[in-house]
Amino acid sequence: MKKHLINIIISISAICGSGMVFTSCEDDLNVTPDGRMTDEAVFSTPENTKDYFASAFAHIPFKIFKYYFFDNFLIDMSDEGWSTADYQPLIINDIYAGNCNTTKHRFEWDDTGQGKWDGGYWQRYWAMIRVLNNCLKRFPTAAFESESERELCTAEARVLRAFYYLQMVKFYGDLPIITDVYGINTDYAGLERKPAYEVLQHIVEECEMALDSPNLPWTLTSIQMKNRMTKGIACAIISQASLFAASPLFCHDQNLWQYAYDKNKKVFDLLVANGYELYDHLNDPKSYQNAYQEYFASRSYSGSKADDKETIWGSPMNHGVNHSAINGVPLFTNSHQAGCVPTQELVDAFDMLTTGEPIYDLANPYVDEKHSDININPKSGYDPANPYTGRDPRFYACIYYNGSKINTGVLNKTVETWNNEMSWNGEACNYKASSASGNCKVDQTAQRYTRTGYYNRKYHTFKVQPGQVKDEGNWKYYRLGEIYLNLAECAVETNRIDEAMNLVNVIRHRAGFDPSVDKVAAGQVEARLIVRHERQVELAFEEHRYFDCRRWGVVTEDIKEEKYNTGMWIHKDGTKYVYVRFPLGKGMGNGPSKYSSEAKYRLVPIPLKESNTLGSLTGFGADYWQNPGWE
Amino acid sequence: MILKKNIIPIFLATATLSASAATDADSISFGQQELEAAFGYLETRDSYTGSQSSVDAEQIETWKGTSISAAIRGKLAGWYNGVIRGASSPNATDALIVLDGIPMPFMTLTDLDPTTVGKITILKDAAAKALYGPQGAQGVLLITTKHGENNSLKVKISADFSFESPTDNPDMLDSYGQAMLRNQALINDGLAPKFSSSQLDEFANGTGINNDWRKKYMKDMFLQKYNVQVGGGGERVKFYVNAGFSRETGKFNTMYDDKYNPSDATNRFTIVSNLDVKINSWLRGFANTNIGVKRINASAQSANLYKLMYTTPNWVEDGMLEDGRVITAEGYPTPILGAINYSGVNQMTRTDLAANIGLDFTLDFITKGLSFKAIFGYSSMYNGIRGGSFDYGRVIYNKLSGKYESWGSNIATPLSWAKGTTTNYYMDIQAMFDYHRVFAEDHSVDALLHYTSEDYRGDDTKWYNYAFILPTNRIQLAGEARYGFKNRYFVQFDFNYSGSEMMAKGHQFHFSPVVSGSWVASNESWFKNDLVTYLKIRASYGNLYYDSLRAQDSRYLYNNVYRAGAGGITGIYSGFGVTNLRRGNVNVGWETSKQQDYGFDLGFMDKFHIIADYWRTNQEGILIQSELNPVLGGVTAANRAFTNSGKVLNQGIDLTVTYDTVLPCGLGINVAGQMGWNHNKWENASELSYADANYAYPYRKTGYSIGQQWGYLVDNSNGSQFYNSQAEIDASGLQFTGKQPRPGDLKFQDLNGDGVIDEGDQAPLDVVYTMPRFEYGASVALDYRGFDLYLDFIGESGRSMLMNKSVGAAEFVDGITTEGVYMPMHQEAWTADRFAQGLPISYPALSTTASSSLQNNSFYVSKIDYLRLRNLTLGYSLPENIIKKVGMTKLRLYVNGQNLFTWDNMKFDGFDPESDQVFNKVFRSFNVGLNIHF
Repeated sequence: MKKHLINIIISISAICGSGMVFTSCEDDLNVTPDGRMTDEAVFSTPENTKDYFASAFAHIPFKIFKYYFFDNFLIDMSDEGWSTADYQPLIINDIYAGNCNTTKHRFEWDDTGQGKWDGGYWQRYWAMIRVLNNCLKRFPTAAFESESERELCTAEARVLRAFYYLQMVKFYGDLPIITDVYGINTDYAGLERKPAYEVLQHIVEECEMALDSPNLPWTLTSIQMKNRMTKGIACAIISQASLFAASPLFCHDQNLWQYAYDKNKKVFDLLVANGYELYDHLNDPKSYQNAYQEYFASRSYSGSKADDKETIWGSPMNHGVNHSAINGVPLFTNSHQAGCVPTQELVDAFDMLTTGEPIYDLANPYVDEKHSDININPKSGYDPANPYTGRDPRFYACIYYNGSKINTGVLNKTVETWNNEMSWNGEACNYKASSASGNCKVDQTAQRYTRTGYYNRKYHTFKVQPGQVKDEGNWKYYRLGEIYLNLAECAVETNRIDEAMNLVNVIRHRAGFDPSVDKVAAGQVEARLIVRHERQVELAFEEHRYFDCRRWGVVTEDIKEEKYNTGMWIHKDGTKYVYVRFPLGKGMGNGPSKYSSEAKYRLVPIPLKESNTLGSLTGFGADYWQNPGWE
Repeated sequence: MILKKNIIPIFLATATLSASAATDADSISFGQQELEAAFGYLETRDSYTGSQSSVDAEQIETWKGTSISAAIRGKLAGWYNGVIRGASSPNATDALIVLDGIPMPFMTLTDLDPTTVGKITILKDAAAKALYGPQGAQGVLLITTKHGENNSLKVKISADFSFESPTDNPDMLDSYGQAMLRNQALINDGLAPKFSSSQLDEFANGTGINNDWRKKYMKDMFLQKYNVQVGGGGERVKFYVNAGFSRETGKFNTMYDDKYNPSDATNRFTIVSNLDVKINSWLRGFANTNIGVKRINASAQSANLYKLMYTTPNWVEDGMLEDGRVITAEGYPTPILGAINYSGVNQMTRTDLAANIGLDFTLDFITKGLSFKAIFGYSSMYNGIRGGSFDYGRVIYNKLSGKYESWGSNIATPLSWAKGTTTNYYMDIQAMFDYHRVFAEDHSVDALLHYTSEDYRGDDTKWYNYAFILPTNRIQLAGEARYGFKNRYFVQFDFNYSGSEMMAKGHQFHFSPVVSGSWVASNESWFKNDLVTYLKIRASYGNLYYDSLRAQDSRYLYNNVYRAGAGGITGIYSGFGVTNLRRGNVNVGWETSKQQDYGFDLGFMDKFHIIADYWRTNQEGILIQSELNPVLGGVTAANRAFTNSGKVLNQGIDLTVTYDTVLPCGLGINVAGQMGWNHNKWENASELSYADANYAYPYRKTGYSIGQQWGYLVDNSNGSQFYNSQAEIDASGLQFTGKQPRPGDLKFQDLNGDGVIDEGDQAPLDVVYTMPRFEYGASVALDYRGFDLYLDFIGESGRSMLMNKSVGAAEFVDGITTEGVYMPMHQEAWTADRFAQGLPISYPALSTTASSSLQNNSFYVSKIDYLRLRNLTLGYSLPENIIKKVGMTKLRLYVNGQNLFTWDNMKFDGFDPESDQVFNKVFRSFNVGLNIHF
């Protein structure tokens, strides 16, 4: 028995010994990981705080041609453009064929995690909003170099968060307003989608708070600061958010036009008072035909260029490729694709310079739904046999057409889009007198050639030779010209006709119209047509048309402007050109050009996984979380 | 060798670890055979309460290749390619590998020489593996190398020579056939044909280019393998030494370049040295060393070559110009000639070292039956690659100019060398007390207490993951206590207490208990009979834990991951950003694994034995990134926090059968068979229901096996599987997402009836998932008067493979094929003509891109049931009285064939059931060899 006792004692001491080894080793299990930071560390030094804040800028959209493989889907979808990537399967064709659904919408394509292209908005923007929510929660106690810095970053975070929210509402409509930092234990029960106008009003409030900031600047003063937020940006967001809030698609039958007018008027005055003005002087007449053209062809960020006071926020992105490659003309040796080419609808929208009159009846521009011919406005002086002379100077700034001159660098050539070889099912297009075609002919399949008879010219600079990537026109997220027209629209809707026309006329003067042909409107209906028409022209290729055509209607209406879009087939009969409008799209007029003109395309669907998860977590069901028309 | 007349039963042999120890095996009864248990202890079958399977040297040596992993295929019930008893978790499921008592976190089984292994045991149930803790929770593979024995000196020499060639080398179409089908695909897609009729004529009459790449560049491989083993010892010292060398050469026809040799060659040297020393009556010491050096020389494109040979059409020109530029064709930037010979060379040297030393104290002076053992184990792996990069110009023949013109931007570059290395290091210290004593003859008591501390510094080779560059520390305490009464009743308790740095403080340690018991009925006095000579019934239940450590990027899941780096903008400090990546969850805990096992060991007439187990594992708290965490919360799908929310039920049956006898005429018969069946099922995948979204199946995982794949079901209502005209597509009234079907494309069922063919219509494809449900193996060994014959079969069933991305089954696979790969089967692809003429159509209309038919769907599901004659050996040993004169104890010559025949039901020709691409090969070998023993 004694031996057993010894045995037991030894065993116990062995176990205790091991136990002691254990406790001393416990510390081994608390490793300092590989360069990761803890939550505390993130806000513990001024550098880390601001570096974390910097990550909230990661998903500012690139715009221009940084959508999936260089297509700008928004311009492609609207009635101002058509994509020459339509020969490829799956991409833009899914949109044109109406083949988008809740698991596969081209704005939500899978590979967005790479961050190389725009898209995947739902997950990107919510991720950014969470970062900003965390910033705004932690900034009051976080480490900063100074109190003014803390105040500045707080104001900036508000503006940036408002910007992301605005992007989301524009695409998705109604949304929940989330200002907390959600974690894995967050209870989503009862989380509601707020009506879009409420979200937009929330955005406006946030930006108004930022406007009260003593440290947030009106403009940026150095190029090093190029992506930072400003009061100018806050004003632009207020202008757009309030306009959208009042628009039929988002207002849920509330009349918010007075609200929108008040907000727009306020920020318009503030912007003007703080030094923003239209770019109305031509510095380089050798290269550019007018100030409007020069403005878009030049690169400027807010405040970074003394002579550009119009840009409120310009993109600092250098995309690594230039317009002559992505929205190119085949005459450029580096042209990869014609890209987003202008439609006949956009071309028709440019007025006649001398009369200041639109070429068609604004109320009823085309004789039929398919846009096969226009209702010519006899007062305009438009000559259908000579369609490209005497037009609004902005036409020449935005569009290469049959006969326009290219004088970029070494090139001094004339664009020829005529094509005597072209034929398709349509009866009008069987002209085969001579088989020949111009150097930039209309083509049905080649990526570098136009589908419509036109090429994009906006943002092209003559100073850059093809192949160079340098100083081309950059994307303008916000510019004062837009604010003019936002205010003008609010003025019309609140029956301030004269004020609206004044604003429109200022824009037209900059474009080159003489004050003698200033717009006057007999009433609200006419004024509305004029303002909307002016937006179409002035804001072409700036991603406004896509949203305008959507927000002006309600969610059950098809987007009639985009249903049938046309191009111009030009053939040469001897020395004379013959102009024939033809329908775009695979159906060649049998069926819509763009099936994305269906009503449901006014809003982007919520990704299926999200609508389902949220449907069950909130208890409201998947339908509540999905946009109308999308299943 | 294997066919000794008195060989102990395969799988059950445990008397010693020596290959020649069978002399006294007859005297050991089935119940007294010693089984290998945790930490190198041996236990009698009678007293062992757990579940395990083992295979000994004789069986392992029947395999004439170089890989231990191949050698044990089909020989251990419940073992399949590194996984024991199927997958219980979507996270890592690999078994823990233990070599001579030391865990080997970075060992690859292919790199251990089968000749040196004495025994391999898998520990399967909770009772058997509990002591190994979390790493062993999914199973343990114990490898014991050979050791010397008492009073003998044995020298064994073996030499093997093999030719190896692919099991499946399918017929490919010639240039004419390929060009015709390429044209057909282009026309189907509304594009212009590539080949003119005059070109086709040239191909047809043999004047055109027709390069059969496989014939031109593929060769049989030659393997030679030599081993010298010396083992022996006396009372005090026992030793075993092995020196082995193998060389495998000649996969491709190469041309020597004056700068380097691009031919494939793999050389391997192995040294194993095991030493046991009895220092005095109470102290024993041991030292084991295992060294492997592998050197590989190969063309830099080596891994790519088979693929190129199947994806480059025969009509691509082959050859080079005098100036060294290589001829190719548009779209084929890597000509095969250049890839083999001029793309540079990789020279790899991998050194594996595993060593352990230890002392074993008998502490009888404290109390009888107590002993203490301490082991220090070390292993390291160094892998160095010297890469010589080299490039060459390409030319393409231009028909118009009649000349070869430069193509692409590649130019001949001088050879330049670079090197890369990987180093892994592992150290472990184990200390254990063992107590074994029998009181009053009837009461046996066993106890074990074991402590391990380990330090692992991995590189990214096996875990391919930055997380493992950091050291991994573990500590654990394990113990076992067993009581046996009259050698009939046994109860056992095991525990493991261990800590993991995977979890936050407060969640790091856990305690896992296991209880088990057995009843040896045949030891009851009333049981004794001549028919049923052995019967034991076993059961075990344990609550094991698993820390998922081996899942990718899964360390420190409790931490929010913030990383400094990209993501910032200029303007806010220096352009750096601190980005919040994966979200942390401080409550992350262990996966629990509740494991049950019920089994019996049964013997008839001491010749026929059955070991059977039913087992059941409930894996809970599986770490997954729950889909139920919406993106709206600001977390992208990839960054979601891990939560312990998954649940998998895995269950199955293991069965081992052996029959062993010597007939009076002297014919020795030895039959062994084993089978494993397993079935796992997600019970909860914390997954979203798609019921609201009108999906035909609301869940994608829950209720299905791990790795279940989904796809459309082919609609055969028109009798042909295909849309036979545009009118038929239009008349269907269906909308299609993604690729629109063309005439000749597969018709898919609209399962949810919403008129749209989309994800909602996808169904679980018939048994397409990760693990085979059944795997089995059987061998027969016959021995008669010096002649021996050995047959070994393996097989699998209960699983299918989805082959729409398998080149050779699908004619076009994104990212792999350029202009399609056409097999004879594709000549029966749908065309309007074939349909009109009523010819047989066995394949959808060919396409130049991934057509709608190539989406995941049931057409491409192929069963992978097969039975393979894996080994056939015929040997002859010269009579002992003759060879004795030259001092030998044995001289045996044999011929052997491996992977000779396979019976399968693959849907597509040209595929071995174990390969998913036509260019992934399984090899057959023919082998002659010689064994000499002194």
